[in-house]
Amino acid sequence: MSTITAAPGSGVSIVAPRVRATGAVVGAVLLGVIVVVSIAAPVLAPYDPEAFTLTAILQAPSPAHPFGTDEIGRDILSRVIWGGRPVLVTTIAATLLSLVIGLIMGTLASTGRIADTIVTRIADIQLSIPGLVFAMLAIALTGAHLGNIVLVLALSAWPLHFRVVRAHAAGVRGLPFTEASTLAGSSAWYRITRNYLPGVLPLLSVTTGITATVVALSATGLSYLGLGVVLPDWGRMIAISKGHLSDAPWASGFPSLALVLFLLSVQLVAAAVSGRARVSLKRSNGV
Amino acid sequence: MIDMSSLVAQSAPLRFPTRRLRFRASSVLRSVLSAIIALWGVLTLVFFAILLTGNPATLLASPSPTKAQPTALTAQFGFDQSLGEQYVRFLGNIVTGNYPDSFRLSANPIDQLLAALPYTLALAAASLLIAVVLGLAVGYGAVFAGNRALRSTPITILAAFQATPVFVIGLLLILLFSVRLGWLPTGGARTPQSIILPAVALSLVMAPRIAQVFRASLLQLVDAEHVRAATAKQISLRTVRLRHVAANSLVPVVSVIGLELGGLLGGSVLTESLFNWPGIGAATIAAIDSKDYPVIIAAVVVIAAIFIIVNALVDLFTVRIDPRAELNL
Amino acid sequence: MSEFLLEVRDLDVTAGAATLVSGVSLALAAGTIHGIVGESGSGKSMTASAIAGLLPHGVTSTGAILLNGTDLSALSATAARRTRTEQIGFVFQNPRAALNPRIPVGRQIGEALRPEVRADEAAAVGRALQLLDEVGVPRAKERLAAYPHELSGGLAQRVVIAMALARDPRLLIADEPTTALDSTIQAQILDLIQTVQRERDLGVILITHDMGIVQDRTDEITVLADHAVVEQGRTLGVLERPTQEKTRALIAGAHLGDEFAPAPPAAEGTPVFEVNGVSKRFESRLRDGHVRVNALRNVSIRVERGRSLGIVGESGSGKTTLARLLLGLEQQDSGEVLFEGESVDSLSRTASRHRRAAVQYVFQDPWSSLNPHLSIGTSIAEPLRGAGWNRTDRGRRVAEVMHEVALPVELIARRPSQLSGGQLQRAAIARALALRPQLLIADEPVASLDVTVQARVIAVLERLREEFGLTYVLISHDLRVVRRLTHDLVVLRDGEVVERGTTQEIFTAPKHDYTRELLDAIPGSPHPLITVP
Repeated sequence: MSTITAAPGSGVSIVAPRVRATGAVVGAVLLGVIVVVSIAAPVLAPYDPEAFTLTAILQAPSPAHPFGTDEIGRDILSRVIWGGRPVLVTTIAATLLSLVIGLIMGTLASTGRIADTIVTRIADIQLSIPGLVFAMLAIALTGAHLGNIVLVLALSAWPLHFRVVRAHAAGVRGLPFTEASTLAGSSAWYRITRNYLPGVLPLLSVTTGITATVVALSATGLSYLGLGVVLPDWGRMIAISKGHLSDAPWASGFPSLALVLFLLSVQLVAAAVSGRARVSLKRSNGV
Repeated sequence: MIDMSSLVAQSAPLRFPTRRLRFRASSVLRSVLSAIIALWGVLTLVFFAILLTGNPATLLASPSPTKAQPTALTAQFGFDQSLGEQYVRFLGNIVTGNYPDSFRLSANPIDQLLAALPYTLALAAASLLIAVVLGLAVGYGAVFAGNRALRSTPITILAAFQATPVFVIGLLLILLFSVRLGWLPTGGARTPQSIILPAVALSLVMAPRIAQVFRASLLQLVDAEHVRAATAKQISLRTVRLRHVAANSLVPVVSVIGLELGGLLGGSVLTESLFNWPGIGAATIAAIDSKDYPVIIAAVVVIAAIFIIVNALVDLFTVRIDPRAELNL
Repeated sequence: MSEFLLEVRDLDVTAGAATLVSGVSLALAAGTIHGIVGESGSGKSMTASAIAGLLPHGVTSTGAILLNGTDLSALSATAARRTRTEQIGFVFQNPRAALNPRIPVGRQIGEALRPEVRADEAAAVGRALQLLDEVGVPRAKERLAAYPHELSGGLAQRVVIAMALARDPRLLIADEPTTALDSTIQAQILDLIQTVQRERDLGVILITHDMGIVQDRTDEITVLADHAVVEQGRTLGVLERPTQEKTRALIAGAHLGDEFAPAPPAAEGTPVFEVNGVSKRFESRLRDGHVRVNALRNVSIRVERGRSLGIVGESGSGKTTLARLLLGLEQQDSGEVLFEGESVDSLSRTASRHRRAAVQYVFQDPWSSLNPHLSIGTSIAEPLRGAGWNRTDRGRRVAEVMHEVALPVELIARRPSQLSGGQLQRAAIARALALRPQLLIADEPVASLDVTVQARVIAVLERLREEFGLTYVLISHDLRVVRRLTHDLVVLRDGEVVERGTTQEIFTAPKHDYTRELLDAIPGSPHPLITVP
């Protein structure tokens, strides 16, 4: 018997189901911790994140300042605790908004052929501008307010949901069981809810996972560039302190760590959700 | 029966024909048309964005304008005219490179950007090359390497980089290779080695996805019927792996590269910022900091144009490597 | 030196904990054709793959496989592969899938040659052309540059056979070589295999699910069922005196069409359907995945009250499009389609509802014609919902109709993914029967089912006809199915009607050459000594 590879057969992920499930739990727990810490920031942070002491700049971690201090003497631990809020809020809000916009546009497109062409073109054009670049332009022109940032990120992300939903509608339309429904004389309502909807939800959970990851990365990118809201923010902290990499690595190190943990947890949770969605999609396709 | 002697008598030696896929005029036309429409859409978007700020003439004039500047701009772009008139003027000006002067340099922003363009292209090309080589190698190894550890470790490490923003990766690289080891410069573009760290950092944005998609594609093909048929021939298993599995798995990789290009361009902005690499991204950020709107607008248009063109090329390339795609076009 | 070319002793094939083949033994002498026959899942393909060393990943085999006396299982992997590639040629089931879609066909044949021959490209090309000539590929020189998707199914399979013969093997293994091909092409390919066997004095192992093919083409057979051998011996001996239930079931499946449908009343009254001078362009997906554009040209047919009609043709003939036109699932480009005298396009709402109750449709593939997210009970009840029945009545009727199609009522809450193909197709038929139609249009109702299951579903269709006077419009490429169930027949080829008449007339005295070809291509004609169980 000649096999060209010893890897497990097609479709099997390198990560065994047990490990994947552990990843999902770890991700969920991590995310939960970050959310809780961000909400409880006023209570948990030992210092006012903006309180600076010019006599205590760039101090190494010590019992008084477990994460050290930055260039103007602010406590880094407090800033890290507070720094998750902007990213968290932006990610959640932008992801949800993108879903809403995607669904609205999807419904609009289904009203007629002309509407469909127009909406699809708009989606294509939106996809023609790289997300971060589009965000930079918009924020430069309109100012870095939370609302603007959320809107701009949502605008970059909705075409993905839209395309997936639209492809699914087209796919379902061609399947025999949809025709069978027409032959059975079923109402439009019945056809939408029974034939179309059940397949859409797993698809949307996959795209939501992808969107959350991308939006989180874009949001941190924006704050790194100084285009985020004016609050302690991990991205901003990293940008400010990057010049002190050799003499005070903790200043950018701890916010980096927090950021990576946050993004990792989002990825793990997204992977778990889309994993389950893919399984349900496979099952419904009779595989 | 074929008359062998007549075959031998032919002057040219017989060869197995290989088909050179030609580009169908229709598919090239379609790609170009799509690109033009996309570009037009971007320009329209920018146009409305500028108008929506309420005060376009003041926006595009310098921070402390003379009396004459806004008036000159209004004349050039027609801000006091009807919407349609403004739109046409705007498109005309942008396409011919007729931008309002940059604040800092009091010169046409296009010149500034054209000077920065080669740096961005070099960085993008280098990181794309590294990403493709790394991604394909790791993806291939994830399926065909000898033992389980060799198969799963590299790709898992690469996946960890997906959760790390490019500027954090960059910081780590600087910390290790510049600060601690002193092998490579921390930034700028003074020496040829300066491109190494930024290119590596940027490549790690795309490499994990390439590896994952390549791996998935390989695994799907490994049980394909034509691979079984190839195994039944007297050719080495390595030939089977390379010619019949890997070569056929490249199409999804090309698609992914097209999709991820946006992320690459966005990432290049961040990378240029971190490494002080004098490309378009860095110019854009400097412009944002100094509120130099003409440069920002010009930069966005240039970046979008690059993106659209490269995507069109990727589309055309997909046709070349997949004969069946010809049928759909 | 063993007297046998191939000997298999106690072959077991497993995938993890699942047994795919259990204790199979057989022997093949050079110059004979040995058939391995069984349903899908019986282990026949796995047996062939194990012999050829082509098992998929994760699947292992144990047991002795002796090729010319050498036990392949005792050799190292490399040595075993070398021996196999020298001595065995393999013909795959789906020819286009067995060819690399990216590489021109000529180079793939070149790759199949022995390394010594490949060394000199000119000689290799010459050899490749010889092989193509041997397998009957016309214009071989041009074909060298073709991509697999540019070839028809039959041509592609000839190329695959050429590749199998390229190294002058002693043993040819053909795994369902004709299942993915049209009926007339099937006969040609099987003829080719027999010719090649004779001219090269090969030993051939032929895998199939069709007892008819076995009857026509093999010297000896092994019958597999439930992963094990149930019967073995000389072909005619086994077919004349089957000792096992499974063997009998397979024979019955192949001889489905040995009887005609009982004579119906003469045609009278308005025909249920009338198609007059209809033309329509359509796209058809052929059996091996190729997409072709064709057109129905000036087609006229009548479906008489009380008489079942068969529409017969190969892939791309337009039979499915014609059936869909009857129900208004498609619109014709020109011509008219009448239902009970009225044009189908302009039916009023009441007339539409009446038509829905009177005529129903069964799709070809049960997996995609039933909503995978809903239980089959819900799907079967859908027409009742559409007609406004209340919940109690719906429940009662669903149970009733499931009973009519011999579907156990316990399955009512199951989803399609939890049912077998035969059960699913019966559920689809049940749904079509819910409103008690008089006419059922069935598009290839048994084509995607196993041979023995086909017999069961056809039995259901026959019983429905007897008990309820149900009439059919049956679309099929398989003449055996049509013979049993229809009274009148229309033969379509490339969008045109080439012959029409009563089923009996057409079978006993076909007038058109094409009809004769189709009839000749039916494997396993009735044999005096074979009693159909």
